[in-house]
This record gives sequence, structure tokens and C-alpha cells, in this order.
Amino acid sequence: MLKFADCNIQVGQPNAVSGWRIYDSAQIAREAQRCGIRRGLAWHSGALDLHPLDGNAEIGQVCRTEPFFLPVWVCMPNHTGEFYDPAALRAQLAEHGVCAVRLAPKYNVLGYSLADWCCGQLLDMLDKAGIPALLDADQADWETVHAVCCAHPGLRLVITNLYYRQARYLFPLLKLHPGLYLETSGLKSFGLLQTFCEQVGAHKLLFGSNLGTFSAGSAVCIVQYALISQKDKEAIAARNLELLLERKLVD
Amino acid sequence: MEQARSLAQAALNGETLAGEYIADCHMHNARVANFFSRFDHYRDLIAQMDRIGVTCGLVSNLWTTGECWQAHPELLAMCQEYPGRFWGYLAPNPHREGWRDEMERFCGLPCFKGIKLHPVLHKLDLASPEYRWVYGWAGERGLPILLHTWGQEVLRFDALAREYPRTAFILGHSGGEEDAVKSAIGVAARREQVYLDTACSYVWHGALEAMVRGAGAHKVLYGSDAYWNSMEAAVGRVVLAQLPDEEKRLVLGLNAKRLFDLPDPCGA
Repeated sequence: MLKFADCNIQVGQPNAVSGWRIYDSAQIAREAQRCGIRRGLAWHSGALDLHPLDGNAEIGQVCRTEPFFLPVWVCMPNHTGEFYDPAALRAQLAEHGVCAVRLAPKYNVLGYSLADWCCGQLLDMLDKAGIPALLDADQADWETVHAVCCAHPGLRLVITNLYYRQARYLFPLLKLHPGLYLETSGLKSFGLLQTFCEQVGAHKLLFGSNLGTFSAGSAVCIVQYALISQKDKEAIAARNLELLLERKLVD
Repeated sequence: MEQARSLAQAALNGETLAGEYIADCHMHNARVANFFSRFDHYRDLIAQMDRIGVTCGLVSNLWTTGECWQAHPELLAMCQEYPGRFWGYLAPNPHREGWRDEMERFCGLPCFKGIKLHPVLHKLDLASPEYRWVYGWAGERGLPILLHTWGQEVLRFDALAREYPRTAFILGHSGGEEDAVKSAIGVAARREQVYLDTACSYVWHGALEAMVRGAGAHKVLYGSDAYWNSMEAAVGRVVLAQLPDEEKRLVLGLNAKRLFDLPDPCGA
């Protein structure tokens, strides 16, 4: 039986609720575990609905209450004094056991540039500290992703929530950049995960669900029923994320 | 698969859902231009169906305008190559000359079980004269119609179902967006002959359970939108839904078997 570790969970009720989504961390943890997911990296919606400092404090509290979760901090560069300078941020991440960060640079989200003139020092720090950065596919264009990977070849950058119709961009990018990875919840075209494994390698794929918004069962079965080897499934399900984080996540 | 093991447990173990009747009501059979989809031959569909345990699929081809490619003969050939595994939708393109005659010509063949309409691709309104002709024609022949639906246009099926009481309408993607799915559930609850399908790249948490609770398990049909979309993602949404297995089985295939009058699988 595959054991999954999820790199893409959001908790916390946002200002506007939709549909049948779930936001409560306990409920999300139960649903994840029902679908075979053993650990989850989670960020808090308050980081974008209110401020990264507030949301990051919330996710810390969530993780103390629910050991299923590991904290992800939403981060940004500190040209305005609102956040932490890279050195101080590195210390904070270590102090709070944060295993990955999320970047949200889009103009109507946190509004900053991923280019070196704005984010260079932050990305350098993440590279040297070995802390992966998660980036939703809609937060930057692919030219920017390519430029960031060229400028920071040691940075571990994980593209999350890919819209399946953008998949063609990812093939050359993943082949070019050793530090670039792709989370699997968006791999919803026919045969897409299988083709990524063949063309790029299963080692570049990390299981994710976007649970809360989307069906965890769907995410799990994208891997379970893919026409790939069991070894590749185990790698995608948890081992790749364990290697990236240099920690054991599932038994 | 032993009936005693739940569908969810089978999926969590990665087991093929052998022994289940699974009919995918929303499939396609050709390449896609504007995004990646893995297509070489229909055997790619069969391979994935066999891995999951899908009994059969109902297929349409929406590109009907080639000089060499002919959608309905191609579907016929597909169904003949894989008898009992594929069934066809008539997919009329009302912009082609002789489209009504073509429907008459193919509808008598036993492999064609329904009709597929795509108002976005055809750039036709749901109440266009061409589509109205199809609604009436289909109702007379007992052929369900699967339509691509996206957004609050699903509400228009209240009136259409009232106007064509003998026609079964399947709301493809059930409107897609969350608020539209809610509306579609309401229409399916109010109109006996309106059905929902699960084929959607937006696999909203909780939506399937809401469809079953709101419209009834007998009104929801499993669909994947393969070759376009992932069969694995689509089936996972159902088998791991928070529903009893009896309701999942209705959704997975028993509803489609009844609606399309599909035979038992060979050897069953």
C-alpha cells in the first residue's frame, strides 16, 4: 500500500468560502489520512488573506495541535521592513521547524519580483539553507521560472497547482533545471504523469493534493492507477519529498 | 475483487477494480491541439481502462470537419475493434451539410448509444433551432444527450427539460465551476430526465457527495473526459468519495448501464 506525504495543503478559512471546501485543520488531516496520506506540508490562508507574519504564526499553532502537519511559511523579500531579512529569516525558519517556504509574488497577491534585483538575497539564502520553495504555477510566468532557475541553480523550486493545460511548458523546464520539481495534483490530462516519468523522470515529481479545495481521492489515484512502476509510484508518493527535505515522513 | 473489500480500500491498495461494472460516460477519441494529452491509439485507452477496471466507455469525436477524417465511421471502427469496450455517441456538427442525414444513417447501428453536443465548439446556443431539432429527434428515439456545460447555463435545462420531456439530458462537467455545480444539482433534482456527470478537471472536494445527496445517486454518471483528462483522477474522485459503496456503484456504472441500455459484459 502506497504511503503518501503531501507537499501541497492549505489550511485556514479564508475571507471568502466556496463550495464544499474544507478549511479546518483537523478535518483536513482526517480526510487526508482517510485517503492514505500520512503527513502533509501546510501553509495557512491567513498568510495571504491577512499578512505572512499572521498566517505563519497560525500554521505554527496548527502544527503544534495537529502533528500530521509540517509548517510551510509564506515568505517575501524585506525591502519594506515588513518581514525578515534573509539571515534573520533563516534563523526563524530553523527555530520554528519550517521545512519549506511558499512564494506568492504576483502583483495582486504579495506583489514583488522574483528577479535578483528584488529577490536575489532571499533566493540565495534558501539555496544555501537547502529549504525548498513552493510556487503556484499562476504566480509567475515560465520565462521568470526559467530565469530564477538559471540564476539559482542550487535552489529547490517546486511548482504547485499546475493547470493541466500548461503542462507542455514543464517538460523542457524540468529537463533543464536539476533543482526544479513538480507537484502532482494538477497532472490531470490523460497519460500526463506517465509521460513525465518517461520523459523527465519520476524523481522530479512530488505528490500533492491541494486538499481542502480538491479531492484527495483524486490526487491519490493519479499516482495509484498510473501506468508506471511501483518503484516510481513510491518515489512520487513520498520518497522524493523525503529526499528533498532530508527527513523521513512516512514509515 | 471480493465484494467484501470496500471500493475505497481497493483503491488505497492500488487494486484493479475487477468485478465491478464501470462505464465511463464521457470519453473522446482523438488528439488535442491546445494542451498535452497522450494519444497514440485506442489501445492507450484500453490499457488505462484495464488497469483501473473500467468495463466500457461511451466515446465521441468532436472534430467532424476533415476531408479524410470522418468521426462516425471512425467511432464505428473503434467499437468494432473493441466490442463491448467502447460505445459511440453521435456527435453531429450542425455546420456540416447533410448532418441530419448522417445521424439517421448511423443511429440504427447498435454501437451508437447517445448523442454528444458541444455548444462552445459549435458556437451554437442551447436553444438554437439546430439543437432543438436534436433534442426532439433524440427524445423520439430514446437516445440520451450528453452536452458540454460550463457555468450557470445549466439553469437553462429546467426549461429545456420541461419542453422536451422525453429527452434525457446529461450535463457534461455538471457546469464545472462550484456555483454552477450547485445550480446543476438543483436542476437534476427538479427534472427527472436531467443527469449529472463527474467529468471535470476541477475535482472539487465534496462536490460529488453533494451531487449524490442533492440529485440522488441514480442521477450521477461517472465520466473522465479521457483522452482529454485523466481517468485515474476521475475514478479516484468516486471510489474515495465519502459515500456508501452501493451509491458509488450506481455512479460508477449501473446508472449508465440503465440509461444507455448497455448489455452485460461479455462472459458475464
